Amino acid sequence: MEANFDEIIHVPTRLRICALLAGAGEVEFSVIRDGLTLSDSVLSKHLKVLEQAGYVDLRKGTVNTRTRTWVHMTKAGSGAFRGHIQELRRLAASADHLSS
Amino acid sequence: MTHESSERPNPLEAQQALESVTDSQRALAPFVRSPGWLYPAQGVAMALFIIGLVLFTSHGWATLALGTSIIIFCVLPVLQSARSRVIIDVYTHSGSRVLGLLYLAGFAGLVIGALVVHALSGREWAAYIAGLLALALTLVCGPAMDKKLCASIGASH
Repeated sequence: MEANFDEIIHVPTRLRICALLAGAGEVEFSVIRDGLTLSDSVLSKHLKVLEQAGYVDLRKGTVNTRTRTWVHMTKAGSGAFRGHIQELRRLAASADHLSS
Repeated sequence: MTHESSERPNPLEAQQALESVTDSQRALAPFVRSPGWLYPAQGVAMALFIIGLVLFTSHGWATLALGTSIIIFCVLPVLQSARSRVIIDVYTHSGSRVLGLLYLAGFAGLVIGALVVHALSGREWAAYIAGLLALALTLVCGPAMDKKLCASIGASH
């Protein structure tokens, strides 16, 4: 995996959303909201950006007459996230090199 | 990390971003839980599969048992994806993969063992015993895989 800084993912809230999604197959909207302590509107806004970038897909379903939304990371999203993490590790490691 | 900037970070900010990634991954742990009916239903399907497969040639109802098990295997993932809040494949996730593979190997061993005993001795109880063991195996290993997965996510670093 090539290290690659991704401006869409690096926005702190989106980075946290991607981190949570990267370890799972599909996650319900309310789990992301509660897990990361975000409001519905903030989460919706960031998911829309990630969806437009092709990094996440949204699936709607009905459980006990209530509509629920599940979110999962696409292959492109997973690749971009891994590349971004690699780049962050590279940047963080450069501090160690400077201090030693 | 309180502002919503996407500017290229300095080393300290990169370290803070990595820490926020770890914290976010851990935030998923409390929500990882399979529906209570999943493993009992899966265990019953596995028991029916073994009994149906071993007694396929000796009893007409064995075909029905085998067919029912296959239907349950097909329906379970659909029901799970519609009812679960977090969907993670316990058989492929690094945290529970080893236990998942051991569970599948145990199931395969029961299937082969029951087929061999039945073929050599013609004893039908081998199918029923193997079916019961498959149910017990699923009831023990299923929640254990969930627990392993949860612990693995909670200990993300």
